[in-house]
Amino acid sequence: MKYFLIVLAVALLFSAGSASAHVLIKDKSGTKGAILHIQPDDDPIAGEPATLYFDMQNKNANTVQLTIANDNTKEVTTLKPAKTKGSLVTLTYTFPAQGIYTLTFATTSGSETHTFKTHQRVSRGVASGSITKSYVWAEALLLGSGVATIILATTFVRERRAISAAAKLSK
Amino acid sequence: MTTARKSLPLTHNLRFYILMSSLLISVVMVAWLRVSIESEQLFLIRTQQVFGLCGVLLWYVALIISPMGYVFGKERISYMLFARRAIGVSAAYFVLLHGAIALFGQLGGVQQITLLPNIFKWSLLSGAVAGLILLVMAATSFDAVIRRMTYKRWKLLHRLGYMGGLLAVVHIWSVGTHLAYSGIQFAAFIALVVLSGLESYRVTTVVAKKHSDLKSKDYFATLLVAIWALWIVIILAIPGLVENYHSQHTGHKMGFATEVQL
Repeated sequence: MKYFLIVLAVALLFSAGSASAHVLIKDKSGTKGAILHIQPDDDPIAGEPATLYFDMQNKNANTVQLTIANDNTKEVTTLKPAKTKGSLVTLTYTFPAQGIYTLTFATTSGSETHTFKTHQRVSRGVASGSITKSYVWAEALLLGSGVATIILATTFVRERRAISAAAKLSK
Repeated sequence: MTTARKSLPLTHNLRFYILMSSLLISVVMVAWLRVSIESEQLFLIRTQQVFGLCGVLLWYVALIISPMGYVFGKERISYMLFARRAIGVSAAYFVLLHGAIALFGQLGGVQQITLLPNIFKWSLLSGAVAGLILLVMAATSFDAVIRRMTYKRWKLLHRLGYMGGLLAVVHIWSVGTHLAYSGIQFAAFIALVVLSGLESYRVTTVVAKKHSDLKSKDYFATLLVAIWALWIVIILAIPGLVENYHSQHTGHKMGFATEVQL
């Protein structure tokens, strides 16, 4: 049973990398929220089409416009939604290269306009030559926890008989 | 009831290794995800997802150990019974990390909940109640607390773990993006059917002990099948009763869940 659970856990853990999630973005006033979801996996691939799902939680919005600005090249693209269903708009866009992009959704409902802005990092696909960040603290933690794991495993193996006896004594 | 262990060295205590392993896994996951994911947002999403997964898996293991004792005999699974307390505390630890990252990392604070769609608000509420139940159970996992509360009351409190588990299922189903995939749905369904089957056996055994006329094989089997069938109906009803936000706007078919929706 325990081996089945371990295999299931590992399989599910690896499958976690292929799922996506929803991100809350706020408008300029901070009083309105919208949900953004990008496929594939909230981690679009430069050079391949990505689908953006934007739930503005407002079924009465007349127009929705998305502006995508490449923070590196300063290139700006304006898109109109391909599909609108209630409060949900769907757009397709191909990010040209890896980098950071600013996504600005402008929704208009009568005389009201709400602007939602978020930044999206594209780290897969066509490279842009930009310098990637490194996290020294994370690398140090990995090394440290690796050493700690070895020490823990060694201690467990060495004390396994005493551990077994102690577990049997307790009910 | 746990026998007092006055001077058990930490290195001789199985629970110590389980708790230390959980701590190490959490540190390794954070570090590994940070190193492999550049995007701050995606790092928070993946970390929260992984911790949620660890929490729910450990919770499942903690729940399934008790009924397994009725099926296989408590002597045969004495190690698992002893380890159960540490497994439950580890589940609470991962659930706490999952909630903290989701609320303060992803959302940016509790006040942002007001900006979410209603389905998210209800989902977060059921998740928060489930998490709170698990934390209370973890906090009362000490021998001194059991002695103070008396074993009967402590056992009653820990029965809440099942209600917490159900609320966790509702939370995961409503906003968990993984469950839009039919493979994950099928695996979760099988896991819940297995757990409910073992629990049904436990309940039937306890009822049969109290009512001697139920001890005959036919009556026992009928009661077992009836309770288990009821559980399966409840599990199958969840997709019909609880919305899944992710599948509303993506191309994901509900697959298995669609076929069995009531």
